[in-house]
Amino acid sequence: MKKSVKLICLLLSMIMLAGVLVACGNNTAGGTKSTKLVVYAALNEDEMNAFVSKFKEDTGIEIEYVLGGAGDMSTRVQAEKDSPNADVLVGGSVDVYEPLAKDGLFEKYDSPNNDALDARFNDPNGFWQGWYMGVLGLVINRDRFEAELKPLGLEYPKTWDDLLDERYKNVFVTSNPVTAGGGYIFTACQLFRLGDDAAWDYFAALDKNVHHYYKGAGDCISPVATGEFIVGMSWVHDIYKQVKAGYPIDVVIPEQTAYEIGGVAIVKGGKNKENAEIFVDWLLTQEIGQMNTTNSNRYSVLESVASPEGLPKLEEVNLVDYDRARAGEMKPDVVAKFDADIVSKR
Amino acid sequence: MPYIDFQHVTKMFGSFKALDDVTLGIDEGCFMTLLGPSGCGKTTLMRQLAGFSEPDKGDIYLNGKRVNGLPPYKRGTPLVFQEYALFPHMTVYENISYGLRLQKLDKAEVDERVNKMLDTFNLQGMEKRFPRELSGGQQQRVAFGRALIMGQEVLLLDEPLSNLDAKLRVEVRSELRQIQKRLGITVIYVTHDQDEALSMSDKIAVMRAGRIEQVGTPWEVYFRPRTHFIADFVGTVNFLDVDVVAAEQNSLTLNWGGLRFNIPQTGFNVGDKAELAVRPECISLAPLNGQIPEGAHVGEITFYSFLGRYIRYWVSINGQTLIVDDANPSLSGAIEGKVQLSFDQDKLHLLKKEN
Amino acid sequence: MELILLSKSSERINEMKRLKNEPLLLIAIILIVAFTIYFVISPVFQLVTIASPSDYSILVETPRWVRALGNSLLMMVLSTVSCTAVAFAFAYTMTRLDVPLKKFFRFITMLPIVSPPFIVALSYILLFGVQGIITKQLLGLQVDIYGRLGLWIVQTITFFPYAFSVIYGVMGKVSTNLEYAAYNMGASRWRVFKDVLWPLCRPGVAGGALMAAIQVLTDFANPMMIGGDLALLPTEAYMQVVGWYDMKTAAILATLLLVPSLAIFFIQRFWVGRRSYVTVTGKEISLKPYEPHKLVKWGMFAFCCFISLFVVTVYGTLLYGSFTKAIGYDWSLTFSNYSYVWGKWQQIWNSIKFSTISALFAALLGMILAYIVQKKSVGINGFLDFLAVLPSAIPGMFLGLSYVIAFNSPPLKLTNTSAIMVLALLFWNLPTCYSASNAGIQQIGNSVEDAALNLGANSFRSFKDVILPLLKIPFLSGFVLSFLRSVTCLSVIIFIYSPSTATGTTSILGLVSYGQWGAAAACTVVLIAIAFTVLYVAEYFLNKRGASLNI
Repeated sequence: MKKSVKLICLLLSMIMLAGVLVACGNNTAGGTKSTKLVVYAALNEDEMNAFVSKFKEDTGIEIEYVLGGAGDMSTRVQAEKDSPNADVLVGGSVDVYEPLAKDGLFEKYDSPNNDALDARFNDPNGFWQGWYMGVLGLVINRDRFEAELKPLGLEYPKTWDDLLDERYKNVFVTSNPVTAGGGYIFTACQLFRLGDDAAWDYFAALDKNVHHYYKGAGDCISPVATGEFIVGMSWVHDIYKQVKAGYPIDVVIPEQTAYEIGGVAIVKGGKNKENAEIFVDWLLTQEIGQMNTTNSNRYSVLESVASPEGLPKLEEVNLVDYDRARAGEMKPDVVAKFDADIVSKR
Repeated sequence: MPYIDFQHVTKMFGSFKALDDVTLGIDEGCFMTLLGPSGCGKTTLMRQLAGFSEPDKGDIYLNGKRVNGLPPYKRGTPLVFQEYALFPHMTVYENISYGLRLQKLDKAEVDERVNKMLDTFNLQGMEKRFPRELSGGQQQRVAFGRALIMGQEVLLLDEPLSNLDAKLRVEVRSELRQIQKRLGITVIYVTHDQDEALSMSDKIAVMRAGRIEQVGTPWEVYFRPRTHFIADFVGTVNFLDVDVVAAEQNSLTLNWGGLRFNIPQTGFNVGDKAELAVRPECISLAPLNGQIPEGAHVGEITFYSFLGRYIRYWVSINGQTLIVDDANPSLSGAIEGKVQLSFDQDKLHLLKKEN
Repeated sequence: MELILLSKSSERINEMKRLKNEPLLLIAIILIVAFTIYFVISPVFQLVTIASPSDYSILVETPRWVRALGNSLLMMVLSTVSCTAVAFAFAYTMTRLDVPLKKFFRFITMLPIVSPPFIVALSYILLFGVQGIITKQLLGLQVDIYGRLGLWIVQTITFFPYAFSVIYGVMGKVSTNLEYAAYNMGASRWRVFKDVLWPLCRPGVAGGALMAAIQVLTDFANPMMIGGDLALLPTEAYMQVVGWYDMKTAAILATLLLVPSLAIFFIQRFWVGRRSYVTVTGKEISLKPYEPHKLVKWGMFAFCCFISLFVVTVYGTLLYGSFTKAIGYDWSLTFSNYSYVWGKWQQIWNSIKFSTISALFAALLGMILAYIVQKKSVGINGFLDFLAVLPSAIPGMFLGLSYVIAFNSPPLKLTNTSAIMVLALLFWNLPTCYSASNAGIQQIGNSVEDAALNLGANSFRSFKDVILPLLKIPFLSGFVLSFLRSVTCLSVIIFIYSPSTATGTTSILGLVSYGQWGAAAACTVVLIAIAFTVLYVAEYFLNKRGASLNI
């Protein structure tokens, strides 16, 4: 008597079918023709779109891409180890590239366009290539600074040490190295700048001024922009977006600041190796560097590219001697110590 | 052959025997009531006929045709459900006409037959209402209309009156009986209410624990119950433990703690211990005037309850309390004190002693 | 009714044997079970086991995770207590008191449920922060809202409606006749409350509290905004993935979150569930409630007004802010935030698309499950019921993370597709749809299907003519609830969205973390508007049919 059940079954198989269809419909199939290039990109969509159309215009090569966070994209490359879909991994800090390079997932490539670059932008082992740079800086709420701190005799901080002034107490915010990549780079920066002992004294002293540690590196920008706090530490390119939005904030890049290098690498076993090389070379041209800087507010590694509008020139930026390999090695210990000595004692 | 015939029907629910070798024949035009306490299998039996479930063993015949295995929608056995089972998303018109519409009759004919039903059941003007907008009595009549409109020879009723208030229930009984007589249809009526069973049926089948204990007219079931259970279930009854002291050709003499009864019944031997079923209205009371006649049954009233059309007395006699109904109460009040009891010996019924 | 008398296990086996005669039902059941195991149980298992048992030792070795667990549990207790108290006050006021503004209060209790995350916290900062409109500009105070206290207040406002909907439902069904019975026996108002109303509501209150508890426990957005230095499990797990790309640690933290969440689920199911005195089909309130003392009455009313005012201010700020140039700084009016959101139309559209598709299937699946569990005896009804509600024990974020791990490689590689979004939302919403359908199907009399057969409809006709139309309302309410949850959901999809499948809520996350609060506010307003439109359209249709949504 239960023909009613037929209907149930029909509906269920519809569910299944629909699931499969949706799944298939979204698979980005890997191209095999040599006029194609498959890119896994940890970039923002607008930036990537600009690349796609410009690359096609310049070289006639069609880019197929998948976008995602740097972690996501590197996990994908790792997962597809045996039959890679991607030809190129682009965007995101080279810190993410290191482990993949160690696992032998990348093809060595030495671009003819990288010879003029500062050595730190080229992988000594030749697996990855740096092509842009993010710099840590300070966001300062101009209105509140002038109203509250200037009368106390303070000027905008010029160095990281200036932040130790007790007049910054509870109006300074930064991010937690335990949770935020940017926060960790800041911490490592101080360790390289000051040496171990002095750096830990610095963190303890700075901690007295820190209102609280945000969980993400970008989280403190808006609270400073809206005047919740007066000074915050974050990525300069992210701060700059808020400057453009019209908030009364200024960007300051302290001396001896740290930076991240944005990377690109050719995936081993990709089907369009030649096109991948063309892409890396292309990325290191002045025109493309300029385009990306305009779109993303990030510094290019090329000296010929003007610095992002409204920001100091790269050569004026005083960078710390950042040992990337060491920063990676000491991370677990530093993070644990920071949590134990600083955060947990708050 | 009976119009509806259940032959050795057995139905198991797991290890529970819901119907245990039930055989029952129902003649055409008969109003047959299945009476019994809840869980006795009466609804299950009816549902076997409607085809909602199939018997594990046995055959069911409807008008000479074996219907086992026939899906419910091909049996033509309209049923009125206890909770009516009206379609809540359909109007009265749509509910009543549903079965006809399934037969793809043309609209004019459907309309005509629905209107006839609306007339029969006093539902004119309610066609457009939804079941939730009707009173309980109206819902019940829609349910009847929906079943009867099919024009079948059979109607199955599953305690259709149990959700009505007491007064309405009594009214509907006689209406229902009249409609059945007028249409000449065969009805199976399921109920646990003995008043309903007695007042409406041509025949009653009393069920217990998946078996039929007795089939008979209301009179037979009431006055000549086959078992203690039936006597007790159908109406109020006093049981007296008696010994058979003499067995004549057409009568028995019984001894009840020194008091004698003589009843026109056979089938017992001298020395048998038996149970005498005495209905409360088969005893009459008379106030005692001084002297007590020889062999008279004398008791004392301990309590009474006035119910309008009769008075119920609790009378202590022979170490037992008997219930006695006086169907003609006097204007001045109840009898009190010692009374003489006389038994309408024709209506007394002797039962075999059960374990 | 005879069935009740049966011994269970042998009967179950017989029921299962009987399924052989109904192969289609059997297939349906197998499909459902397979689906649920493949898309719920298996991913969860994979996530829990991705880290080896020895990896779990980092929990003990890293004081921060221990603190995070402690903080999470503490906030859960604090906020749950306050949420339940506020919810109880609202429920009592709305079911037992004759006061004005009840419709308004109802609206207030729905607002936080249909709004995306971050908003309450964001507005709260603008209102009560260092530069807060109320604290600084109105009262001239300089207060510090970051940390436990601020989080507590914000979580209370955000999550009390979840407790409310349960308590309100139960309290509304406790017949006032029972209270009158107690008054009749000489009990004072207080005694009646203490001896009658409170004990009868207690299962509801417990159920509501657990509902709020699971929300608080898995809350991610509020701690992110105003938690200050407070480390909580959901935020830590999230940061492990986005900050450090450390799936393993994230998985371990998420598992840590799963433990209390499962505990809540089992308490709910096996303890509170069995102590419920009031059935869903309970009687309507029959007598007008007997009012408490005037002071109590108007005190409760004032309290509800105060909370409502707070909620209105929070949302008002957001609404107004979405039209300003630089929210929190330059309050002059502009439409630029909305034109920005218009530019992100694709993501709003994704929200609508994924929510609709997943809600459709979730409602369908929930309905079929509810139908089978309630109307068919298949021997494993209890198990099916358990499967249907199981996803509610899994924190959304955990489910998302487990999908990333389970469907990242063949045979079913779904990462970065729309399918993974739809599937995750579908199974996350299954319990909601299932309970919504359950309530509706319970009201379908057992015999209507038989009645149709009896009148000559074959099985197909009777399903089509009778069961399907009657399932329309359970289906619709399941669909709407699921849609609302999906449109405003972040936790489930936070790990599984890709740029092409980004939704309204993930844009809000992005906008908030890049500090574009104005655009985030506009995006929120758009999502709330969509949610309320759907809600009101659905309510209109349901009310016409004498049904209502239980939000």
